[in-house]
Amino acid sequence: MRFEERRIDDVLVAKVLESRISADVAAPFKQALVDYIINGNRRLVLDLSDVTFIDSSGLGALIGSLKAIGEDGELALCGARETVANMFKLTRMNKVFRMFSTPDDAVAACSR
Amino acid sequence: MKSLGLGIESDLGNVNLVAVATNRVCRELGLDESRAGQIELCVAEAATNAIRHAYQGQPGHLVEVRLSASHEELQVEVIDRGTPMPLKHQQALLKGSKPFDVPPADLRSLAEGGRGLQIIFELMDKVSYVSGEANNRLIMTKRLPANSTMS
Repeated sequence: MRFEERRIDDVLVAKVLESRISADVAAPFKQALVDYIINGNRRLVLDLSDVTFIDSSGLGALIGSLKAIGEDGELALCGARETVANMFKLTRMNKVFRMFSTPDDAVAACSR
Repeated sequence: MKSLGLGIESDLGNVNLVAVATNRVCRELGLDESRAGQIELCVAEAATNAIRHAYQGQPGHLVEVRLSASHEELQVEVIDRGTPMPLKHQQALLKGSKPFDVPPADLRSLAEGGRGLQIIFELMDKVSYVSGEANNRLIMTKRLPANSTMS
């Protein structure tokens, strides 16, 4: 999985540079996010603006990462396109994840 | 009636190929982006299940996707020749099992997996599963809007 990373204060913003988060890449995708967390990133914003497709395995990897970061950390999402946002709505995961339009909005919410 | 058959080897890396092809065919048939995306997702979930469960993740087996469209509906079949889906999962597919209710307040009890069949159940208008001597066929049907271009 390829990411573009930047840090804003204590928030790591990781932009997913793959267009599809599907079953074939779900395991390495989750591992990459867990590695961020293990390496001390407690506030993480995942920019999904380049992602055009996510399946239930990709969603599962995100849920696993949210559980890994725990309730004292933050994992926020931003930039979800319509097809990706629809998947979150269908599975009610839009009630579980904090989702924002832009990285700046997500960073501001995480910094509070 | 228009129809098309596609086939991939049972490797998860191939699922995107049939999923993307299905989406493109749906667009060509006049479906809007949202519906084409829903059908793409269902094909991806069904093909992934066939590889993981019917073939236990083993490579070298065939997963077929057959599309056929009439004026009224698009039918998508995902076909394998592996182990049939357990009855419990067939029931989940045909009748729904775990509606996507309000998630639990406790994050730790949130499941990471097991949403694929329910996604298919929710997005498709009709689903059936036929396990015969030759193969297993998951048949998904979506009604088409009046303005699509089937002939």
